[in-house]
Amino acid sequence: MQRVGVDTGGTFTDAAAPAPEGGWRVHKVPTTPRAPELGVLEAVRGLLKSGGGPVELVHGTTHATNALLTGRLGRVAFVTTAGFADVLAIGRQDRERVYALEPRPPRPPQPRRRIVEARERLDADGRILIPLSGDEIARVAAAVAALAPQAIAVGLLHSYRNPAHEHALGRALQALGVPVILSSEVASEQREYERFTTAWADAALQPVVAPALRALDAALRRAFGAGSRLCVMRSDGGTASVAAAAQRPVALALSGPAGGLAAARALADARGDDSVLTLDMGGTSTDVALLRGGELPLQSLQLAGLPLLTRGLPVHSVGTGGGSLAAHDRGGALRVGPDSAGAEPGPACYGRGGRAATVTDAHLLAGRLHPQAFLGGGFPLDLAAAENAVRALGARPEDILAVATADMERALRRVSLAEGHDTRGLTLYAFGGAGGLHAAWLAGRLGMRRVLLPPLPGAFSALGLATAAPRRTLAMSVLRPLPPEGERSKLFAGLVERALAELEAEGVPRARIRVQTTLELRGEGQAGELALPEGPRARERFLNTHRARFGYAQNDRPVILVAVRVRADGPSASPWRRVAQRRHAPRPFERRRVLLPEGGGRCSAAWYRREELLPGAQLKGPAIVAEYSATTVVPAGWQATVDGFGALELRRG
Amino acid sequence: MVFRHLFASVAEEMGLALQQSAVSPNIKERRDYSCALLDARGDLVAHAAHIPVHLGSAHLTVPAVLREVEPGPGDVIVLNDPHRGGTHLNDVTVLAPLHAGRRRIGFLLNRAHHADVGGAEPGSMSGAKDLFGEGLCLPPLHLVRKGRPVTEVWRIVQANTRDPGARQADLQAQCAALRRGQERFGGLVQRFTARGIEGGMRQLLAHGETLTAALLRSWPQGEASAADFLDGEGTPRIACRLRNRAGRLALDFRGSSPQVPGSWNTHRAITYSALFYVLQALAPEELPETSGTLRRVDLRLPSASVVSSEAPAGVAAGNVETSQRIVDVLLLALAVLLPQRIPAASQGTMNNLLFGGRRGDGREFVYYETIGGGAGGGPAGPGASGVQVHMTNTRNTPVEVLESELPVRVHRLELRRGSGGHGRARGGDGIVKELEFLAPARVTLVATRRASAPPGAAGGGPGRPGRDRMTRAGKRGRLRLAAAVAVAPGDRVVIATPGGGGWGA
Repeated sequence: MQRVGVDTGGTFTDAAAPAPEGGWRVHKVPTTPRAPELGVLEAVRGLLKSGGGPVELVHGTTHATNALLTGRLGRVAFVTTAGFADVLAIGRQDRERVYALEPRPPRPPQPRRRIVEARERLDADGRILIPLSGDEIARVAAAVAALAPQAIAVGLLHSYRNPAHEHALGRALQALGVPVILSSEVASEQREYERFTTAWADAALQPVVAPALRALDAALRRAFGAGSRLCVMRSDGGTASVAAAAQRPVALALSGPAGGLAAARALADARGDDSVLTLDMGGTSTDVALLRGGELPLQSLQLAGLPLLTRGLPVHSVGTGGGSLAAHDRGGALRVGPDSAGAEPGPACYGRGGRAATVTDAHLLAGRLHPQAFLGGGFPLDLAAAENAVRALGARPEDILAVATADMERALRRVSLAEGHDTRGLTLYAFGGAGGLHAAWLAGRLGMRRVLLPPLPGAFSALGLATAAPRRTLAMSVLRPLPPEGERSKLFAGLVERALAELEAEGVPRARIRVQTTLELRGEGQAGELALPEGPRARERFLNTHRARFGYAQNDRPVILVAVRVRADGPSASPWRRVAQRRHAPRPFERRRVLLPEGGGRCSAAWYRREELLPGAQLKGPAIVAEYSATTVVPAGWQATVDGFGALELRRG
Repeated sequence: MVFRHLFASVAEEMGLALQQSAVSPNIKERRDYSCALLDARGDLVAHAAHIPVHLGSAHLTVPAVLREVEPGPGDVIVLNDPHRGGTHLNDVTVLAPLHAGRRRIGFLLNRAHHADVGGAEPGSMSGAKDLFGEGLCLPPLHLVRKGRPVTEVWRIVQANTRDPGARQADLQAQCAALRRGQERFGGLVQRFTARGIEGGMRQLLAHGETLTAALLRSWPQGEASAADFLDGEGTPRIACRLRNRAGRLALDFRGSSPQVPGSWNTHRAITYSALFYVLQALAPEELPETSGTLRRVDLRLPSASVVSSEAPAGVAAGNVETSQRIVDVLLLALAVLLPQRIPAASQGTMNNLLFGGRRGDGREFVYYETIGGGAGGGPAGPGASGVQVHMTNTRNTPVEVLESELPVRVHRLELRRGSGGHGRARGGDGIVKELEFLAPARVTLVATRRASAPPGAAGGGPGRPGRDRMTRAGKRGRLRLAAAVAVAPGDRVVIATPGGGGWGA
C-alpha cells in the first residue's frame, strides 16, 4: 500500500510520498475551501499519476483549528453542576490584555440558554454531598433533548476525583443519539474552567470534524480502492485512525502544524542540530516553534484564547502568510493580515479575480518570485494584476514586505525568549511555500547566522505526515501523595493496556509499540508540576529537579503525584539518509533585477533551480533559488550550500 | 528595540518561577504578584506579570532602600513598609542588586501579596486604626546576606503571621525567582557587556519618554477636572484637575480629603500606579512599561492626604479600593478631553474577601481573593461581564482548588444578570459568589461601590451597586463592609459585585 502525506493549508493542499527510486515525490494543488476533500484527492491523484493501488493517506487537517478560530461550531448543550452554569462565561475572570479599558476576554461562545444545570454535588474528595437522583437525570435529559443539540458536553465539579455522576448522566444522554462528551474522560484534571472548556470544545467540534473525516475516508476508498485508509495527524505529533480521531476532535486542534514539526525534528536529529527555531510560512498563517534537543515536548494548548487540556507540540501561530492582505489602518499605518485572500480568490497575481494586494504580490513586484517559475512554471503569475493591486493601495512593495517580516520577527522572539533562549546560537528551519522568502531577512534581524531550507520546503509538512507514526497519549489524574513504585505500576497498568489496545486496533503489532510512562509531580500546595520518567527514587529525583529549576526544594513537604501519563508510539523510521557531497559551483539559469532590502538592495541576482542543485553545490548571494513549491532568497553577504540530505544551508558572513 | 524584549523576558521568567513554586493560592493560582527590572537609580525598565497596582510603585522602592541599607552582591533585601518603598503590608517585596564586577548596574524586585501578615484580623486588611494595627511592618532589611539567610528576620516574619509555613515557602519562592532573574541577567551582561546593557536601559527609558510625549501631543490640549468619593468611613473625596499641554501632563490632586483614620489611605506610590495604568491603557501597544512615561508627568499631591498619606497612616484598603477610585477620577477627567475614547465607569472595586480560622485538626488557615465584576460600556461596545478591571488582573481560585485546600464550599458562581447599566453600550454584569464555611472563621469583605453606583457615561445609566448578605445560624442579614465577623460551620456569605456603567443614550 502506498503511503501519502497530505497537508491542507489555507491556500494550497500538498501531497508527498517516498519515491520508489529514492527521495520524494510531491504535488501541490489549490485548496478547495468549500469541499476540502476535493483538493486532497486531487493532490493525491496528481502525485500518483499512474492512479494505482490502495492508498494510506496521512492527513494534517485544519478543520478543528479553523472551526475554533472562526467560531463555526456545532450546537452544543452543556450540562453542569447547579450553581455553576456561568463557569464558562466567567473563566478565570482575568483579561487577556492588562491595559485594556474595554477588555474582551475570550471565552467559549456557549449561550446560557443552552446550559442545563443538574442538581448534584461532590466534595473535593469525590464524596457525594447531593446524590444525582433518577428523577433529576430524567429531568436533565428532557431539558437537553428540548434543545435539539448536535452534541452534548457534561462538566461536573470534582469529576476528576469521582466520575460517577458524569457517567450516570452520560449513560442517560446517550439515548438522544448525539455524541456525549464527559469532562472526566476528555481531560481528567483539576480546575473546572479549563476542564469544562476542553469538554465543550470537543463537543462543539464533533458535528464539524467527524462528518468531514468520514466523507474524506469514503471518497478515498471510492477513488483508490476499498483497501485504502485514512489516518489523521493529531496535535501530539502522532497519527490516529478516522474512528479514533473523530471520537476526540479536540486532539486535532493543532493537527496542521504537527507534520512540519515532526519532519523538522527528524531532520534536525539526522543533521545533528540540537535546538532549532522553525518558521512554517504558508498562504494564510505562519507557525513558529522552538524545538529543543531530544524528544518533542508536549504541553497543554491555547487556541483562540481558550485553554485546552489536550497535549500538543509547542507551536505559536501568527496570522501573516503569503496571502495576507496589506491595508492601511485608521491611523494611516500599513498593516499586513490577519485578513487573507485565502485560496479563493488568492493573491491578485494568481489571476483568479483577487484585487487586493498581498505579501505574495509584493514579492512578485520586488522580483523575488519568478513569474514563469512558480510551481515549476505550471502556474504563471500575473504581474499586471499585482501591480494594479499594490498601486491601488498606495504602498511600496518593500514596505509591505518589511511589515510582514516584522510581524514574524515578533512571533519568533516571543517563542524563543519565552523559553529564555538566545536566538543567536540557533538554526532557523524555514519551510512552507513562503518561508524561504523571509528566512534570511528574519535571521539577520534576530542575529542568527544559520538558516536551513529542508528539501521540498513547500511540501515539508506533507513529508512529515507521510512518515509519522501512530501515537496515543493518555493521562489519569491521581492527586495524592506519591505512592511507592509497586503501587504506581497498578495506576499505569490500565492506561498502558488501553493505549496498546487502541494502537493494536489500528494494525500496529504489540511487540513493536514503544511505551513511555511519566509521573507528574509537585510539592504539596504548589502549582508547578514537573514531569519525570517513571522509575526508582522518584521523590529524590523530584527534589533534585525542583532545586535545579527553582533554586530550592522543600524536603519536609510531601510530594504529590498529580497525574500519570502514558505515551505509546508505533514504529517509525527516519526518512533522512545522508549522501556524499561533491563540492561544485552550480550554474544559474538566469540573471534578473531584484529588490533585496535585507541585503543587496536593488541589484542583479543569479537565479538557480533548486532541482539542479546537488549535494555539495555552493553559491553566493545575492541569489534566488526557485523550486517547484518554494522560493528562497539568498541576500548579499550570505552563502548557500546543499548538505548531504539535500537541504539548502544558508550562512551569513 | 531588542532590549525591550530581552529585559521583559528576564522579568517574565522571574514571574513564572515564582508562580510555579509558591504555595499559597493567592500567588500560584491568582498570580497576585509582579516582577520588575530597574536600573542603577531605580528607574523601572521592565515589568512583568502585570498587576497594575504594583507598577508605578516600583520606581520609588530603590531610593527608599538605599536610604537605609546597602545591598551588596549575594544580598536580598525585604520590605513591606508602605511609607518606605512598599505598597501595603500584604505586598512583601524582595529586591536584589545586579552587579557587573564591582559595579552595581541595576536591581531586580518581585512583590507578592501574602494572604496574611498579622494584624487584628485574618488577612491583615481590616480592624486597624493605623499602620501599627494592620500587621507586621518591615522596613528595608537584609533577608539574605552574602548568600546566607538572615535567620532572625525569617523568624520574625514567621512569628507574626497566622500561616507561617506558607509565608516561609512563598518567601523562599520569591528569593528563588530573584536568583533565576539574576542568572538570566548575567547572560545578557555576557552578551552585551555591562556598558551595552546600561546603554540599552537609558535608550529604553528615553524611548518611553518620547512615545509618551507623542501620545500627549496627539490628545486635545486643555484642562479638565473631576471628583468622586469612596464609600468607606467618612466617604473620603478624591479630586483631580489635569492639564495637557505641549507634551506634558500636569495633575493636581489638591481638594482630595486629608488622610483618614483606618485603612483607606494610599501612599503616593499607588497614585503613581493609577496614573501609569491610565496612560498605558490609552497608549498604542508599543509603549514600554518604563519610568520614561512618568518623566512627562507633573504630579501635585497634597501632603498627608488620602492620595498621598504619611506614616503611620493605614493603607491596606487604600491600595486595593482607593486605587480603583483614583483611576475612575482620572478617566472621568480625561473623558472631557477624549469623549470618544473613554468608557463608562467599571465596577470600581476589587471586592476583597478575606477569611481565616482554625481547622478541626488545629491547623490555621488564611485566604484572600478578589472578585471580578462588570466593565463599563464604551465606544467599542458593551462592557465585559465578570472580569477584573483596571488596577487588578488577578485570576480566581478554581472552585475545585479552593475546596481542596480550604474548609469552605462554594454554592454558586454566577453572573449577576441585569446589573450592568443601560445604554447604547450596556455595562457588563457583576458576579454572584456564595460561600459556606466548614470551620469556625473570621471573615471580612473590603469593598466599595455599595453605597454609590458605578456611573454611566455619555447618557448611559449607572451599574447596580454591589450587595452582600450573610446567613448566620440560619438568620439572614447584611454583611457589613470592612469589619470582620465570626462565622460558624454552616454559615454562608453571598457577595454580589457591581455592574459596569452604560455608555451612550
